[in-house]
Amino acid sequence: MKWKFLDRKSGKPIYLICNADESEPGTFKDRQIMHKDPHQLIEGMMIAAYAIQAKQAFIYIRAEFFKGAHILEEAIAEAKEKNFCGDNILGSSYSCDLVVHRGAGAYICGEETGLIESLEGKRPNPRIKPPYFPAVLGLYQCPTIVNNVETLCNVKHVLEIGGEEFSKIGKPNNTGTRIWCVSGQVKKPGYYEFECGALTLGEMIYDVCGGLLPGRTLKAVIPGGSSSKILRADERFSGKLKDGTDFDWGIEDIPLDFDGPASVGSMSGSGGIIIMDDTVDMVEAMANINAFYAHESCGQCTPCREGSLWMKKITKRMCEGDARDEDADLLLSVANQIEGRTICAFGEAAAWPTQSFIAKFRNEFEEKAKNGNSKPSLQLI
Amino acid sequence: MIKKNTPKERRIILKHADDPKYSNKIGCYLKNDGYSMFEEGVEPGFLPG
Repeated sequence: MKWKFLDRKSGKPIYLICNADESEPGTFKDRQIMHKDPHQLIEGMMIAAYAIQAKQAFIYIRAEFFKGAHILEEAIAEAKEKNFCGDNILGSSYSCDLVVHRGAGAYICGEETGLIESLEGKRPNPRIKPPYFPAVLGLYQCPTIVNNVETLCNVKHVLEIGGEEFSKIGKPNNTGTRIWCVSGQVKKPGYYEFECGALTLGEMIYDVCGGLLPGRTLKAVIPGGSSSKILRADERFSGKLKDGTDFDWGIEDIPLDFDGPASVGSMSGSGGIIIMDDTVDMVEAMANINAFYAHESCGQCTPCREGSLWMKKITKRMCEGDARDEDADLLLSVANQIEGRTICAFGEAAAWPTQSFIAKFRNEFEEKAKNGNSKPSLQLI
Repeated sequence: MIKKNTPKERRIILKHADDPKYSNKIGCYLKNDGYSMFEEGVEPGFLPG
Protein backbone atom coordinates (compact mmCIF):
# COMPACT_ATOMS: atom_id res chain seq x y z
CA MET A 1 0.00 0.00 0.00
CA LYS A 2 2.74 2.46 0.99
CA TRP A 3 4.59 1.76 -2.23
CA LYS A 4 1.64 3.09 -4.25
CA PHE A 5 2.00 6.50 -2.60
CA LEU A 6 5.69 6.79 -3.42
CA ASP A 7 6.54 9.96 -5.30
CA ARG A 8 8.56 8.52 -8.18
CA LYS A 9 8.55 11.68 -10.24
CA SER A 10 10.25 14.08 -7.84
CA GLY A 11 13.72 13.44 -9.26
CA LYS A 12 15.00 13.09 -5.69
CA PRO A 13 16.74 9.97 -4.40
CA ILE A 14 14.39 7.28 -3.09
CA TYR A 15 15.17 5.56 0.20
CA LEU A 16 14.06 2.30 1.76
CA ILE A 17 14.08 1.86 5.52
CA CYS A 18 13.39 -1.30 7.47
CA ASN A 19 11.85 -0.43 10.82
CA ALA A 20 13.51 -2.94 13.13
CA ASP A 21 13.01 -0.82 16.24
CA GLU A 22 10.89 -3.53 17.85
CA SER A 23 9.98 -2.08 21.24
CA GLU A 24 6.27 -2.60 21.83
CA PRO A 25 5.93 -4.38 25.17
CA GLY A 26 4.81 -7.95 24.55
CA THR A 27 6.35 -8.18 21.07
CA PHE A 28 9.39 -10.26 20.17
CA LYS A 29 9.13 -11.55 16.60
CA ASP A 30 11.49 -9.30 14.64
CA ARG A 31 14.38 -10.22 16.89
CA GLN A 32 13.82 -13.91 16.14
CA ILE A 33 13.77 -13.27 12.39
CA MET A 34 16.92 -11.14 12.47
CA HIS A 35 18.79 -13.61 14.66
CA LYS A 36 17.76 -16.77 12.88
CA ASP A 37 17.16 -15.82 9.25
CA PRO A 38 18.76 -12.44 8.51
CA HIS A 39 19.20 -13.16 4.79
CA GLN A 40 15.45 -13.56 4.40
CA LEU A 41 15.10 -9.95 5.51
CA ILE A 42 17.99 -8.80 3.32
CA GLU A 43 16.55 -10.51 0.24
CA GLY A 44 13.13 -9.00 0.90
CA MET A 45 14.72 -5.59 1.28
CA MET A 46 16.74 -5.89 -1.90
CA ILE A 47 13.65 -6.91 -3.90
CA ALA A 48 11.74 -4.00 -2.37
CA ALA A 49 14.62 -1.59 -3.02
CA TYR A 50 14.80 -2.70 -6.64
CA ALA A 51 11.04 -2.36 -7.07
CA ILE A 52 11.05 1.22 -5.85
CA GLN A 53 14.48 1.93 -7.38
CA ALA A 54 16.07 2.92 -4.09
CA LYS A 55 19.83 3.29 -4.22
CA GLN A 56 20.25 3.38 -0.47
CA ALA A 57 18.53 1.20 2.11
CA PHE A 58 18.76 1.19 5.90
CA ILE A 59 17.90 -1.26 8.63
CA TYR A 60 17.08 0.89 11.64
CA ILE A 61 17.53 -1.51 14.54
CA ARG A 62 16.64 -1.06 18.18
CA ALA A 63 19.69 -0.05 20.21
CA GLU A 64 19.29 -2.87 22.69
CA PHE A 65 19.56 -5.49 19.92
CA PHE A 66 23.36 -5.70 20.07
CA LYS A 67 23.48 -9.26 18.84
CA GLY A 68 20.89 -8.65 16.13
CA ALA A 69 22.85 -5.69 14.76
CA HIS A 70 26.03 -7.75 14.72
CA ILE A 71 24.31 -10.67 12.94
CA LEU A 72 22.83 -8.32 10.34
CA GLU A 73 26.13 -6.58 9.70
CA GLU A 74 27.81 -9.93 9.13
CA ALA A 75 24.97 -11.06 6.85
CA ILE A 76 25.14 -7.85 4.82
CA ALA A 77 28.90 -8.33 4.39
CA GLU A 78 28.23 -11.86 3.12
CA ALA A 79 25.53 -10.59 0.73
CA LYS A 80 27.89 -7.88 -0.57
CA GLU A 81 30.59 -10.45 -1.17
CA LYS A 82 28.14 -12.44 -3.29
CA ASN A 83 27.09 -9.20 -5.03
CA PHE A 84 23.46 -9.34 -3.82
CA CYS A 85 23.84 -5.73 -2.70
CA GLY A 86 26.32 -2.96 -3.34
CA ASP A 87 27.47 -1.83 -6.79
CA ASN A 88 26.23 -3.36 -10.06
CA ILE A 89 24.24 -6.04 -8.32
CA LEU A 90 24.55 -9.45 -10.02
CA GLY A 91 26.17 -7.79 -13.01
CA SER A 92 23.22 -5.49 -13.64
CA SER A 93 23.24 -1.69 -13.85
CA TYR A 94 21.41 -1.54 -10.52
CA SER A 95 23.33 -0.52 -7.39
CA CYS A 96 22.00 -0.26 -3.85
CA ASP A 97 23.87 -0.05 -0.59
CA LEU A 98 22.39 -1.47 2.59
CA VAL A 99 23.53 -0.42 6.04
CA VAL A 100 22.53 -1.14 9.61
CA HIS A 101 21.82 1.92 11.72
CA ARG A 102 21.50 1.40 15.46
CA GLY A 103 19.04 3.49 17.42
CA ALA A 104 19.80 4.98 20.80
CA GLY A 105 17.16 3.38 22.98
CA ALA A 106 13.94 5.27 22.34
CA TYR A 107 10.57 3.58 21.75
CA ILE A 108 9.37 6.58 19.75
CA CYS A 109 11.85 5.69 16.98
CA GLY A 110 9.42 2.93 16.06
CA GLU A 111 7.14 5.72 14.82
CA GLU A 112 8.23 6.12 11.22
CA THR A 113 8.74 9.89 11.15
CA GLY A 114 10.51 9.80 14.52
CA LEU A 115 12.71 7.08 13.09
CA ILE A 116 13.52 9.27 10.08
CA GLU A 117 14.43 12.21 12.32
CA SER A 118 16.71 9.91 14.31
CA LEU A 119 18.30 8.56 11.15
CA GLU A 120 19.01 12.15 10.15
CA GLY A 121 20.91 12.54 13.41
CA LYS A 122 18.30 14.54 15.24
CA ARG A 123 16.12 14.08 18.31
CA PRO A 124 13.36 11.67 17.21
CA ASN A 125 10.42 14.05 17.41
CA PRO A 126 7.69 12.70 15.11
CA ARG A 127 6.68 14.92 12.20
CA ILE A 128 3.21 16.22 11.43
CA LYS A 129 1.25 14.32 8.78
CA PRO A 130 0.38 15.99 6.45
CA PRO A 131 2.66 17.14 4.94
CA TYR A 132 5.36 14.76 6.12
CA PHE A 133 4.15 11.46 4.72
CA PRO A 134 7.43 9.58 4.24
CA ALA A 135 6.46 8.30 0.78
CA VAL A 136 6.56 11.94 -0.35
CA LEU A 137 8.67 13.83 2.20
CA GLY A 138 10.72 11.31 4.12
CA LEU A 139 14.43 10.96 4.81
CA TYR A 140 16.21 14.21 3.90
CA GLN A 141 12.82 15.35 2.53
CA CYS A 142 13.05 12.68 -0.17
CA PRO A 143 10.52 9.94 -1.01
CA THR A 144 11.02 7.13 1.51
CA ILE A 145 9.38 3.80 2.18
CA VAL A 146 9.41 2.61 5.78
CA ASN A 147 8.31 -0.99 6.22
CA ASN A 148 8.62 -3.32 9.16
CA VAL A 149 10.63 -6.55 9.32
CA GLU A 150 7.65 -8.88 8.85
CA THR A 151 6.39 -6.96 5.80
CA LEU A 152 9.78 -6.93 4.09
CA CYS A 153 10.29 -10.65 4.73
CA ASN A 154 6.90 -11.26 3.12
CA VAL A 155 8.00 -9.53 -0.11
CA LYS A 156 10.14 -12.50 -1.07
CA HIS A 157 7.31 -14.95 -0.35
CA VAL A 158 4.70 -12.93 -2.26
CA LEU A 159 6.96 -13.15 -5.32
CA GLU A 160 7.72 -16.81 -4.73
CA ILE A 161 4.11 -17.90 -4.21
CA GLY A 162 2.62 -15.33 -6.58
CA GLY A 163 0.39 -12.43 -5.56
CA GLU A 164 -2.85 -14.19 -6.38
CA GLU A 165 -1.96 -17.37 -4.51
CA PHE A 166 -0.56 -15.41 -1.58
CA SER A 167 -3.83 -13.50 -1.28
CA LYS A 168 -5.60 -16.83 -0.77
CA ILE A 169 -3.66 -17.41 2.45
CA GLY A 170 -5.77 -16.31 5.38
CA LYS A 171 -9.17 -14.69 4.89
CA PRO A 172 -10.44 -11.94 2.57
CA ASN A 173 -9.09 -8.56 3.77
CA ASN A 174 -6.95 -10.45 6.30
CA THR A 175 -4.49 -12.13 3.99
CA GLY A 176 -1.14 -13.77 4.61
CA THR A 177 0.20 -15.13 7.84
CA ARG A 178 0.67 -13.32 11.10
CA ILE A 179 3.27 -13.93 13.77
CA TRP A 180 1.74 -13.75 17.23
CA CYS A 181 3.91 -13.29 20.29
CA VAL A 182 2.22 -14.75 23.34
CA SER A 183 3.43 -13.78 26.81
CA GLY A 184 2.00 -13.80 30.31
CA GLN A 185 0.54 -16.62 32.35
CA VAL A 186 0.23 -19.47 29.86
CA LYS A 187 2.10 -22.76 29.91
CA LYS A 188 3.80 -22.31 26.54
CA PRO A 189 4.43 -18.63 25.76
CA GLY A 190 6.29 -17.97 22.53
CA TYR A 191 6.00 -16.87 18.91
CA TYR A 192 3.60 -18.63 16.57
CA GLU A 193 2.91 -18.05 12.88
CA PHE A 194 -0.60 -18.79 11.64
CA GLU A 195 -2.68 -17.90 8.64
CA CYS A 196 -4.64 -14.75 9.42
CA GLY A 197 -7.94 -15.67 11.02
CA ALA A 198 -7.10 -19.38 11.15
CA LEU A 199 -7.70 -19.65 14.85
CA THR A 200 -9.42 -17.89 17.71
CA LEU A 201 -7.93 -16.30 20.79
CA GLY A 202 -9.28 -19.22 22.85
CA GLU A 203 -7.58 -21.77 20.60
CA MET A 204 -4.35 -19.82 20.89
CA ILE A 205 -4.49 -19.72 24.69
CA TYR A 206 -5.78 -23.20 25.46
CA ASP A 207 -4.62 -25.35 22.56
CA VAL A 208 -1.50 -23.74 21.11
CA CYS A 209 -0.10 -22.30 24.33
CA GLY A 210 -1.20 -25.18 26.53
CA GLY A 211 -3.66 -23.22 28.64
CA LEU A 212 -3.26 -21.29 31.84
CA LEU A 213 -1.03 -22.24 34.74
CA PRO A 214 -2.56 -24.85 37.09
CA GLY A 215 -5.41 -23.58 39.23
CA ARG A 216 -5.63 -20.23 37.52
CA THR A 217 -8.51 -18.63 35.62
CA LEU A 218 -8.33 -16.17 32.76
CA LYS A 219 -8.85 -12.58 33.82
CA ALA A 220 -7.93 -10.42 30.83
CA VAL A 221 -6.06 -10.27 27.55
CA ILE A 222 -4.18 -7.44 25.87
CA PRO A 223 -4.39 -8.60 22.25
CA GLY A 224 -1.91 -6.44 20.31
CA GLY A 225 0.92 -5.11 22.43
CA SER A 226 0.63 -2.84 25.45
CA SER A 227 -0.88 0.00 23.40
CA SER A 228 -3.99 -1.97 22.56
CA LYS A 229 -7.08 -1.87 24.73
CA ILE A 230 -7.45 -4.61 27.30
CA LEU A 231 -10.30 -7.14 27.08
CA ARG A 232 -12.03 -8.73 30.07
CA ALA A 233 -12.29 -12.49 30.09
CA ASP A 234 -15.98 -12.45 31.07
CA GLU A 235 -17.10 -9.90 28.48
CA ARG A 236 -19.49 -10.58 25.58
CA PHE A 237 -18.88 -8.70 22.40
CA SER A 238 -21.54 -8.21 19.77
CA GLY A 239 -21.91 -6.12 16.65
CA LYS A 240 -21.42 -6.27 12.91
CA LEU A 241 -18.29 -7.21 11.06
CA LYS A 242 -17.06 -5.16 8.09
CA ASP A 243 -18.92 -7.46 5.71
CA GLY A 244 -22.18 -6.90 7.59
CA THR A 245 -22.20 -10.26 9.40
CA ASP A 246 -23.50 -10.17 12.96
CA PHE A 247 -21.25 -11.51 15.69
CA ASP A 248 -21.73 -12.38 19.33
CA TRP A 249 -18.44 -13.52 20.85
CA GLY A 250 -16.90 -14.32 24.17
CA ILE A 251 -13.22 -13.47 24.49
CA GLU A 252 -12.24 -16.97 23.40
CA ASP A 253 -14.20 -16.65 20.13
CA ILE A 254 -12.31 -13.60 18.83
CA PRO A 255 -10.61 -14.50 15.52
CA LEU A 256 -6.90 -13.77 15.41
CA ASP A 257 -6.64 -11.56 12.36
CA PHE A 258 -6.61 -7.83 11.75
CA ASP A 259 -10.38 -7.32 12.01
CA GLY A 260 -11.23 -9.58 14.96
CA PRO A 261 -9.65 -7.60 17.82
CA ALA A 262 -10.70 -4.34 16.11
CA SER A 263 -14.32 -5.51 16.03
CA VAL A 264 -14.36 -5.80 19.82
CA GLY A 265 -12.88 -2.35 20.41
CA SER A 266 -9.19 -3.21 20.56
CA MET A 267 -6.63 -3.99 17.85
CA SER A 268 -4.23 -6.69 16.74
CA GLY A 269 -1.48 -4.04 16.72
CA SER A 270 1.98 -5.52 16.96
CA GLY A 271 0.69 -9.07 17.46
CA GLY A 272 1.83 -9.14 21.09
CA ILE A 273 -0.81 -11.08 23.04
CA ILE A 274 -0.44 -10.60 26.80
CA ILE A 275 -2.39 -13.12 28.90
CA MET A 276 -3.37 -12.17 32.44
CA ASP A 277 -4.78 -14.61 34.97
CA ASP A 278 -6.62 -14.07 38.25
CA THR A 279 -3.39 -13.39 40.17
CA VAL A 280 -2.79 -10.12 38.31
CA ASP A 281 -3.47 -6.88 40.17
CA MET A 282 -4.82 -4.58 37.46
CA VAL A 283 -3.66 -1.40 39.18
CA GLU A 284 -0.13 -2.77 39.34
CA ALA A 285 -0.30 -3.80 35.69
CA MET A 286 -1.56 -0.34 34.80
CA ALA A 287 1.23 1.27 36.82
CA ASN A 288 3.78 -0.81 34.96
CA ILE A 289 2.41 0.23 31.56
CA ASN A 290 2.13 3.88 32.59
CA ALA A 291 5.75 3.91 33.80
CA PHE A 292 6.79 2.72 30.36
CA TYR A 293 4.88 5.38 28.43
CA ALA A 294 5.98 8.19 30.74
CA HIS A 295 9.58 7.15 30.21
CA GLU A 296 9.22 6.85 26.43
CA SER A 297 7.22 10.00 25.59
CA CYS A 298 9.43 12.19 23.40
CA GLY A 299 8.06 15.27 25.14
CA GLN A 300 7.20 17.20 22.01
CA CYS A 301 3.44 17.44 22.67
CA THR A 302 2.36 18.80 26.05
CA PRO A 303 -0.70 16.52 26.56
CA CYS A 304 1.43 13.43 26.08
CA ARG A 305 4.52 14.61 27.94
CA GLU A 306 2.59 15.87 30.98
CA GLY A 307 -0.30 13.41 30.81
CA SER A 308 1.81 10.27 30.63
CA LEU A 309 3.88 11.50 33.57
CA TRP A 310 0.79 12.24 35.67
CA MET A 311 -0.74 8.87 34.87
CA LYS A 312 2.48 7.24 36.00
CA LYS A 313 2.57 9.28 39.21
CA ILE A 314 -1.04 8.50 40.06
CA THR A 315 -0.80 4.74 39.51
CA LYS A 316 2.57 4.60 41.28
CA ARG A 317 1.04 6.37 44.27
CA MET A 318 -1.92 3.99 44.22
CA CYS A 319 0.41 1.01 44.35
CA GLU A 320 2.43 2.52 47.18
CA GLY A 321 -0.54 2.70 49.50
CA ASP A 322 -1.84 6.19 48.81
CA ALA A 323 -4.80 5.54 46.54
CA ARG A 324 -7.65 8.04 46.63
CA ASP A 325 -11.35 7.67 45.88
CA GLU A 326 -11.15 10.00 42.89
CA ASP A 327 -8.14 8.32 41.26
CA ALA A 328 -10.06 6.30 38.66
CA ASP A 329 -11.86 9.40 37.41
CA LEU A 330 -8.68 11.44 37.56
CA LEU A 331 -6.77 8.89 35.47
CA LEU A 332 -9.58 8.75 32.95
CA SER A 333 -9.68 12.53 32.72
CA VAL A 334 -5.95 12.73 32.04
CA ALA A 335 -6.09 9.96 29.43
CA ASN A 336 -9.04 11.58 27.67
CA GLN A 337 -7.09 14.81 27.38
CA ILE A 338 -4.18 13.06 25.65
CA GLU A 339 -6.13 11.08 23.03
CA GLY A 340 -6.40 12.94 19.72
CA ARG A 341 -4.28 15.86 20.87
CA THR A 342 -0.80 14.79 19.81
CA ILE A 343 1.28 14.82 16.65
CA CYS A 344 1.79 11.08 16.55
CA ALA A 345 -0.07 7.98 17.69
CA PHE A 346 2.00 7.72 20.87
CA GLY A 347 -0.70 9.81 22.55
CA GLU A 348 -3.31 7.16 21.82
CA ALA A 349 -0.84 4.40 22.72
CA ALA A 350 -0.43 5.98 26.16
CA ALA A 351 -4.11 6.85 26.67
CA TRP A 352 -5.86 3.69 25.46
CA PRO A 353 -4.47 1.35 28.13
CA THR A 354 -5.61 3.68 30.92
CA GLN A 355 -9.01 4.27 29.33
CA SER A 356 -9.63 0.58 28.87
CA PHE A 357 -8.24 -0.54 32.25
CA ILE A 358 -10.55 1.94 34.00
CA ALA A 359 -13.52 1.01 31.81
CA LYS A 360 -13.04 -2.73 32.36
CA PHE A 361 -11.61 -2.88 35.89
CA ARG A 362 -12.84 0.27 37.63
CA ASN A 363 -13.77 -1.80 40.67
CA GLU A 364 -10.13 -2.69 41.31
CA PHE A 365 -9.05 0.94 41.15
CA GLU A 366 -11.80 1.90 43.58
CA GLU A 367 -11.02 -1.05 45.86
CA LYS A 368 -7.42 0.14 46.04
CA ALA A 369 -8.62 3.37 47.60
CA LYS A 370 -10.92 1.60 50.04
CA ASN A 371 -8.73 -1.30 51.10
CA GLY A 372 -5.28 -0.96 49.76
CA ASN A 373 -3.92 2.02 51.64
CA SER A 374 -2.72 0.07 54.62
CA LYS A 375 -0.51 -2.20 52.56
CA PRO A 376 1.64 -0.92 49.72
CA SER A 377 1.36 -3.56 47.02
CA LEU A 378 4.25 -2.73 44.77
CA GLN A 379 7.36 -0.62 44.85
CA LEU A 380 7.80 1.01 41.46
CA ILE A 381 10.75 2.93 40.17
CA MET B 1 -9.25 -28.70 26.66
CA ILE B 2 -6.95 -29.35 23.68
CA LYS B 3 -9.03 -29.74 20.55
CA LYS B 4 -7.97 -32.03 17.74
CA ASN B 5 -9.12 -29.66 15.02
CA THR B 6 -7.15 -26.60 16.08
CA PRO B 7 -5.33 -25.33 12.97
CA LYS B 8 -1.65 -26.04 12.75
CA GLU B 9 0.93 -23.31 12.42
CA ARG B 10 1.70 -22.28 8.87
CA ARG B 11 5.26 -21.09 9.00
CA ILE B 12 6.30 -19.02 6.01
CA ILE B 13 8.52 -16.35 7.55
CA LEU B 14 9.50 -18.53 10.50
CA LYS B 15 9.95 -21.62 8.34
CA HIS B 16 13.52 -22.21 9.51
CA ALA B 17 13.41 -20.33 12.80
CA ASP B 18 13.54 -23.34 15.11
CA ASP B 19 15.46 -25.74 12.88
CA PRO B 20 18.65 -26.62 14.75
CA LYS B 21 20.36 -27.53 11.47
CA TYR B 22 19.63 -24.13 9.92
CA SER B 23 22.19 -21.38 10.43
CA ASN B 24 22.03 -17.66 9.76
CA LYS B 25 24.98 -17.84 7.34
CA ILE B 26 24.58 -17.16 3.63
CA GLY B 27 25.71 -20.65 2.62
CA CYS B 28 22.77 -22.18 4.44
CA TYR B 29 20.38 -19.61 2.99
CA LEU B 30 21.59 -20.26 -0.56
CA LYS B 31 21.21 -24.03 -0.09
CA ASN B 32 17.55 -23.37 0.71
CA ASP B 33 16.90 -21.42 -2.52
CA GLY B 34 17.83 -18.15 -0.90
CA TYR B 35 18.18 -15.08 -3.12
CA SER B 36 16.59 -16.98 -6.02
CA MET B 37 13.63 -14.58 -6.14
CA PHE B 38 15.94 -11.60 -6.08
CA GLU B 39 18.06 -13.08 -8.87
CA GLU B 40 14.92 -13.49 -10.95
CA GLY B 41 13.78 -10.04 -9.91
CA VAL B 42 16.75 -8.15 -11.25
CA GLU B 43 16.07 -9.56 -14.72
CA PRO B 44 14.87 -6.58 -16.78
CA GLY B 45 11.11 -6.23 -16.87
CA PHE B 46 10.37 -8.69 -14.03
CA LEU B 47 9.52 -6.02 -11.51
CA PRO B 48 8.00 -2.60 -12.03
CA GLY B 49 11.00 -0.38 -11.66
